[in-house]
Amino acid sequence: MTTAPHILVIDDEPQILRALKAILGEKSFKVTTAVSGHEGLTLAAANPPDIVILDLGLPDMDGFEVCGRLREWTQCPIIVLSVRESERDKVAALDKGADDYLVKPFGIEELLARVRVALRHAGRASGAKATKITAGPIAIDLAWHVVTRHGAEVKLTATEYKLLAYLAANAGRVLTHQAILTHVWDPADADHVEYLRVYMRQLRKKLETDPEQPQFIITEPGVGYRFLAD
Amino acid sequence: MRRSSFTADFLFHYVPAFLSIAGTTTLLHLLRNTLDTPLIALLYLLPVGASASIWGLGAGIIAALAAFLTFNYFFIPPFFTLIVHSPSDLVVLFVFLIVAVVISQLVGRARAGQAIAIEKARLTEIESRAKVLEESDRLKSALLSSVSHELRTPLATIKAAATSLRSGEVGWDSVARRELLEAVEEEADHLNLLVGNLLNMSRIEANALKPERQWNLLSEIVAAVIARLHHPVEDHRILVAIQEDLPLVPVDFLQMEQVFTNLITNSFKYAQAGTTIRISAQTEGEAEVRVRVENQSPPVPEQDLERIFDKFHRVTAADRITGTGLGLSICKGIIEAHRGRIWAENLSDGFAFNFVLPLSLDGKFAPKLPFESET
Repeated sequence: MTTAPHILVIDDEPQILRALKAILGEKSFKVTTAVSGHEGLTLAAANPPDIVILDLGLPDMDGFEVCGRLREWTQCPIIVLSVRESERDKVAALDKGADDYLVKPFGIEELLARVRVALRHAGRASGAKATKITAGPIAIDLAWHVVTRHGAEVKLTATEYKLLAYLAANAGRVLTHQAILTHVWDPADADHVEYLRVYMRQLRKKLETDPEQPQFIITEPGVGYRFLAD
Repeated sequence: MRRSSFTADFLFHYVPAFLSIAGTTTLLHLLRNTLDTPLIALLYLLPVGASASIWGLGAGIIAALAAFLTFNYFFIPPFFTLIVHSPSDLVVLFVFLIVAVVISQLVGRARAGQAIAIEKARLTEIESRAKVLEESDRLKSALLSSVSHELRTPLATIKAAATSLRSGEVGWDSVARRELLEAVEEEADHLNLLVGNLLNMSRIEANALKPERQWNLLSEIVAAVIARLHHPVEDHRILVAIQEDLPLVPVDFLQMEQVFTNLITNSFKYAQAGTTIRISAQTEGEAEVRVRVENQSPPVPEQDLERIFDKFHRVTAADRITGTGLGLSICKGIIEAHRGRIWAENLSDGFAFNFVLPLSLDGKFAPKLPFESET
C-alpha cells in the first residue's frame, strides 16, 4: 500500500481516543477521531476511511445504527468495541454488518491483529481469494477439498469440512453462531447452537494438538468462533 | 374527636345492628303463625350474633337489647305490649336476653382479638422489613468499604508502575521494566474481573440474573476460562478431567465462565504456589452433572464451610488475602439460578468446591445429532 491506511475511531471516551491516536499513529496509520455517532458519520462521508473502529456505547445513537448507516454506502471494515456484559449488542452489530469486535479492556496486540485481518479481507474482497490456508501444522486446500495435519490427510465428514472451510475462508474474523449455522447448515437451524458445540469439538479433536486448549479454533464467548491462521 | 367517633359508631355500627333486628322482626312477624316461641327466640339469636361479628361488641349488645324488646312486644302474649303474663314466657325472655348478650360478647371479643392479631402481624412485618433494609444497608456499606479498598490496591500498583516507568529511572531493557509492565497488565485484568463480579452481584440482588440456558460443552467453557486467565503457569498447575462423553449441559455460557473463573481465582489465592488445581466433571445418575474444583489449600473450619458462600464472608483476615468476598456468593447465585446446588468440603489433602447442575432443560435432555460418516 502506498499511502498509510486511514482509521476513523468513533468513541465518546477522550482517554480511549487519546490512547488509540497515539498507538495507531505510532504504527503509521492515519487516525481521525469522532466523539459521537453523528460526527463519525459526517467525517466518514467527508473523508472515507479504510477502516472504522466504533464504540457501541455512544451517547447520541446506538452503535449498531451507526453500523447500518455506514453499510448503506461503504464496505470498509468496521471493528466494534464494547464491554463484556453486552453480548447481544455485539451480535447485533455483527449482524448489522460490522466485521469484528473487541471487548474492552483490550490489549493493543489484539487490536492491531484485528486491524490487520480486516484490512487483508477488505483488500481481498476485490481480488482473487486464497485457496490454500495454513494454521500451524494444519493445511486446508479449499480448491481440492483436502485437509492435512503435519502432511497427513485428515478425514472429515461433509459437515465438518464445510464448517472448517467456512471458518478458514474467514480466517482471523469472528463468525457469529447464527452466521455459521445459516451458512453451514440452514437458515432454519440458526438457533441450534448445540450443532456448533458438537461439531467444533469433533474438529478440534481431529485438528488441534490439545483439543482442551485449542490454538486455532477459538471460542468467542457468547458471540461465535474464530479461526486463527498463520 | 370523641364525639365524632361516637357519631361514626352510632351511624355505621349501631344503626345497622338495629336495622338487622327490625328486618328480622318484620320477617318473623309475617311468619308468626308457623313458628312457636322458642323457635322465634332462636332465630332472633342470628342477627344478634351477626351484628356482634360484623359491627363489634357494642352493636351486638344493642342488637341483643332490641331483640329482647321486640321479641317481648310482638311475640309474647299479650301481643303489642311489654307486659308478660305467663311465668314460663318470662323465663324464655330472660334466658334469651342472657344468651344474646353472652353471644354478642363472645363474638365481639373474638373479632377484636382478630383485629389485634392482624395489627400485630402488620407491625411484625414492618419491623422485619426495617430489619431487612437495615441489613441491606449494612451490606451496602460493607460492599463500599470492601470495594474501595479492593479498587485502590490495583490502582496503587498501576500508578506506581506507570510513574516509575515515566520517570526514566528504569532502563529500557531491564527486568524491572518488564515486571512493572506485567504488574500493570495483571492489575488491569484484576480490576476488570472485579467489575464483572460487581455487576453480577447487583443483578443477583435485583433478581435480574436470568441465565440464557443453551446446550453447551463444559469442557469448552473451562477451556475458554483457562485461556483468559493469564495466570503465570509456574504458579499453579491446572488439570482438567472432564468425562469424555459428558452430554451437553443446558447452561448460560458466560455465567458459567464467571463461576469457573471465580472458583479458580479463589483457588489461586488460597492454595500455595506450585500446587495443582484439578477441575473434573461427570454425570451423576441420569439427570445431573457433578463438577468439582479441587485445590491443595489448607482446610476451612467446618463451621465456615457454608458461610464462605455468604456475601463478604472471608475466612482469612482481610489484610492477608485480597478479595471482596463476592466471588463465591456470585457462584452460588448463578448455580442456584440454574437450579443447581453448590457446596464446599475439606479433603484429606486439600479443599474442594462441588456443584451439580441439571442435565435437562424444560424437561428435555440434550438433543442427539445424527451420525455422519467421514468421506
